[in-house]
Amino acid sequence: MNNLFRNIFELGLRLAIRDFSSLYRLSFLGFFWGIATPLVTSLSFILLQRSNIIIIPEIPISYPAYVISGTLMWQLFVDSLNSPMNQIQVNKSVLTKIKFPWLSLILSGFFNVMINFFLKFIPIIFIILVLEGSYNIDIFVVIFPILGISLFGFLIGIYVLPIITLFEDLKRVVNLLTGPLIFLTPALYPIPESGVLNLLVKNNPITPFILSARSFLFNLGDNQSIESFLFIFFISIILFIPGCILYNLAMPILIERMEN
Amino acid sequence: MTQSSLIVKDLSKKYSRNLRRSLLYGGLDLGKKIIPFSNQKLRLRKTEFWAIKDISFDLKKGETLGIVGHNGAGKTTLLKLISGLLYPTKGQIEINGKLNALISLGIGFNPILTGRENIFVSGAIMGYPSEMIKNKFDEIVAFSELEDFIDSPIKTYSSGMMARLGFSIAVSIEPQILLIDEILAVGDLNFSIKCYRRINEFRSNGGSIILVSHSPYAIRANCDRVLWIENGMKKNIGKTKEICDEYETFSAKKDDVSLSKSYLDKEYINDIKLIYNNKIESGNSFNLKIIIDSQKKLKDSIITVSFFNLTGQNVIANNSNESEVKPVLNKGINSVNLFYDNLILNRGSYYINVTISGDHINTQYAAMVNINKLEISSKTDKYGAGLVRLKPSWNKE
Repeated sequence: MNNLFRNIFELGLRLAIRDFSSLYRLSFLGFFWGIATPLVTSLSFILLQRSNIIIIPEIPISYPAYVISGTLMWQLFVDSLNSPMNQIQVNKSVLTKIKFPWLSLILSGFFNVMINFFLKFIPIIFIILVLEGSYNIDIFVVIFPILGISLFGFLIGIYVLPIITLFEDLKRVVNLLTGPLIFLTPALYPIPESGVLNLLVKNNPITPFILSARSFLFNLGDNQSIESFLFIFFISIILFIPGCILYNLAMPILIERMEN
Repeated sequence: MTQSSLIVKDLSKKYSRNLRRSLLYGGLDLGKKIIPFSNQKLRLRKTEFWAIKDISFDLKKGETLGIVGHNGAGKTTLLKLISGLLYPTKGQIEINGKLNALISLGIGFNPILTGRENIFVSGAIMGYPSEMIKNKFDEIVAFSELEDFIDSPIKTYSSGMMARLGFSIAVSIEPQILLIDEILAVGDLNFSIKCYRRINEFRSNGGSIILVSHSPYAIRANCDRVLWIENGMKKNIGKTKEICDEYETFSAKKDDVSLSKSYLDKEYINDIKLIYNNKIESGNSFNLKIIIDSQKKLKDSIITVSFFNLTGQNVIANNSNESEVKPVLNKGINSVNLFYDNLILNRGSYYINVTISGDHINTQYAAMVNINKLEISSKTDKYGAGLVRLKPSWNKE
């Protein structure tokens, strides 16, 4: 069993190094493209807010700090959600030729998502914290909501993987939903005071991760969100194990269909 | 009792011909796997067929088993089932030892990365720990003969170079059981010989091999026993010579229907017929009578006769020009004889291809492949590999 876990880890790491090494090798601007998406989204909303096109209620930090931290967390969730599916697509030719520990693909995806996230997160957040003048020791605890939101994304990704691999239509549904779903989170604006949106954003399981991350980054002391995030994180860890079993059961069936 | 490296018992695998139904059945099968106590039904659902049906055999330690069969017979599916890549619908596979399947070379290669980087990636996918790959690295590079290119991106490699690197990685660390699917014809002749030498070393060290090949020469030269699959079912299993002879005879009969190709430029040639004894002993004389119905008088025509084996290799080709004979074809029926004192073709089935061209070989008037294959037999059991059988004299000084 130890040997199996070691193999999964070694192969996952090797595949992540392969993917990361080749990712920006043909690009002159390199990892700039990694930070481009959250930056462009954030800048668009900052511009809208500055032009009073969208009115943001009072928030404890500046709006740029608010929207950039929210967008980074949201992007991490989307990348994690799509990672299992992307890994299967990228490694299709390998999967149909040789048997290897399939869980290493999930691990490789996780390593890749994390490397890409921290490459953009560290410099952006560093600049924001300097501008905000917010320094506190709790900042390092932000790693937990980061791991939590990623695990939650992977969890959903693993559970939907068999069905969206078999049925192309469902993959399109997932892609369609992930775009507007950002508006059901407190990534771009605070939870509305009332109405349907209040209900949806408040009960969205992604919300506590984003709020907790902000709380740790800017020392906001949002204990209620931290408690909720810990609960969902714990449930995600428990559900991840049957998810991995389902994934392993599904893989031969999926591989058989990939050959068609 | 010789211990078996592999035991396959009543192995069956079903597929659906319809892509959408295949996806639907995939979803249903997955549901059945998740729900406890729900067994998969063995009956065929709509559009399903048996790709593999009730195949049983064993592979003894140190033995090489060849698998032959026509395209779509189920050879690769069988290998994929044994390697664990696919779930069998029914049956059992017992594997005693580490198994490595060489179904494709260069698995996991990324074209942007260098040969060096890809060795580590591909090795890791094959289940080799990085320490082991580090230790074997120089050996892999030396075997592939790519020392000067190992730090170049592999997208700059030729397909032969890529296959050489892939094979070198695959055989660098020896498992106990090796599954090989049609991949030994990699690179140039020298490299191909190196591959076979490596396979022989593996076998003499007690390794067991399953070799799938369309080449009767590769099967005859390397295998102790042969399993013949036809339409997903075991047609026969036994000693290499017996099964290969039976398979080749069967192939010759089967292919007769489909291979009747001819091209006639009616401005010059109306018809060609070949008359010959289609069953002869290797090394005996052979006379081929070519009846040509010519539309007009053709001076300086060149007649070419070629013998092709079942793998499509042109084994012998002769043309009238090289013998400095320039037959003049008159309008109407002409008869041309080609006589061999001793036809040195090795045992097997051959197509005879006849072409008639003008004074330049590219101006072709007619070409035809005979329908009845030429069957060359041999009384002796000593079957020499190779395309032709010469009868040299041996002399010890």
